[in-house]
Amino acid sequence: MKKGILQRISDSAVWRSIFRTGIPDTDLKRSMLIFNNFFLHIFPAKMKRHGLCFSFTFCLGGISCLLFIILTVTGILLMFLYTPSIERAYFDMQALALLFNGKILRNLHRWSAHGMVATVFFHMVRVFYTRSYRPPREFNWVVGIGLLVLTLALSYTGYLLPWDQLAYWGITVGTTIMTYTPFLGSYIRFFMLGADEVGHEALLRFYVLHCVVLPFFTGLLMAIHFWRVRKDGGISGPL
Amino acid sequence: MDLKTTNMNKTISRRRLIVCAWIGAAVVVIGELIVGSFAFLWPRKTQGKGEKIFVAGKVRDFKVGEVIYFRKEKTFIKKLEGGFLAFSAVCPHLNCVVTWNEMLKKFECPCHGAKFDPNGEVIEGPPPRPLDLYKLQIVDEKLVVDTASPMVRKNFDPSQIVKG
Repeated sequence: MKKGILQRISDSAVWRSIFRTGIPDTDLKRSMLIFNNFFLHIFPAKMKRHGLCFSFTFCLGGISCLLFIILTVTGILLMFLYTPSIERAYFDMQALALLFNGKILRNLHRWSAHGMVATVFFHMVRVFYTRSYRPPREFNWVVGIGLLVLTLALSYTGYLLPWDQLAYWGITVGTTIMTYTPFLGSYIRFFMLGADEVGHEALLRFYVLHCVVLPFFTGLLMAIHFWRVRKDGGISGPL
Repeated sequence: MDLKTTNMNKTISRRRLIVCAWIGAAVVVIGELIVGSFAFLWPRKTQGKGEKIFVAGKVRDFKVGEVIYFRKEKTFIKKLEGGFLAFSAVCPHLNCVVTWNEMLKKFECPCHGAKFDPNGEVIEGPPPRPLDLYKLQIVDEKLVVDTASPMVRKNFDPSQIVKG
């Protein structure tokens, strides 16, 4: 039988150097396909039946992850057009409306951020009510708490960046709440703001935290979180 | 107990010494990095310890019962029968700036709905204490206000009024 064009491509040395597994026509090869692919390897090679049951998880963790990806992509695009300075921040934010897709990108970022807080919270509620925090998953619950705190911190630091009245007073109030910390209160506020009042230093600090520091740690904890899900017996269902 | 065993108890092995040295070195380096990072990021601006003085105007230009707001300095000057009061406009709850409501004769905070009477005492809302006062002096028939260190007070007292 003569080989078809697709067969020839998938048998070629170049193809095989990228995708080790050939046509996945057996169960083993189907497993290996998932196993050997960088992007697919976070999925299990074999799925338990209850893992597909929608009402076990409501896909809340997955939605949170999807929203984080949307936020990363839109956030990177927005960074090209935003200057973290008190003279320009508000006008840069307004000028987004004049650009092709500018408004939709900003609103995607904004609504995804709101949505992520909600889905992370509901994810936690789901895990709690299904008692999925119990051993051996107890450490993953702790990692999840870290991710919740990071999600809230990302939302809060992003809140200052439009540099409007809501942002200014929101950060004034929030950082003043920090001063109620015993002993260290006023130092924490001073360190967070970089000055006595919300100003240029605070905007720059929050910008760096929002765009670099917090996303980095969120990504790190997400990697650990997903890895632990697999190591602790897969998503949902009894062990 | 012979000499050899006592020596064995007191000495540590070469392996253990090197491990301890490595851990010690790592602690020093990581500690330096952490402390150094915080020191690097610590704001250079020092908290205003000195005097921040501004001249609010001439004494005779204020009418009794009048409340004048100085936006840049975040200060209210109030003229009473006996003299003057200089309020900090920063709400003692969570640092929002209060406004003077001329109709209701109240200071109002937009953030959490706090209300203060004309002497700065809390009528309603969450603030833990009345509006802070600034040092006020009358020099050469002019009002001189020092906004560097607000005076925290428990309640209003006629002695707080600066005669003038």
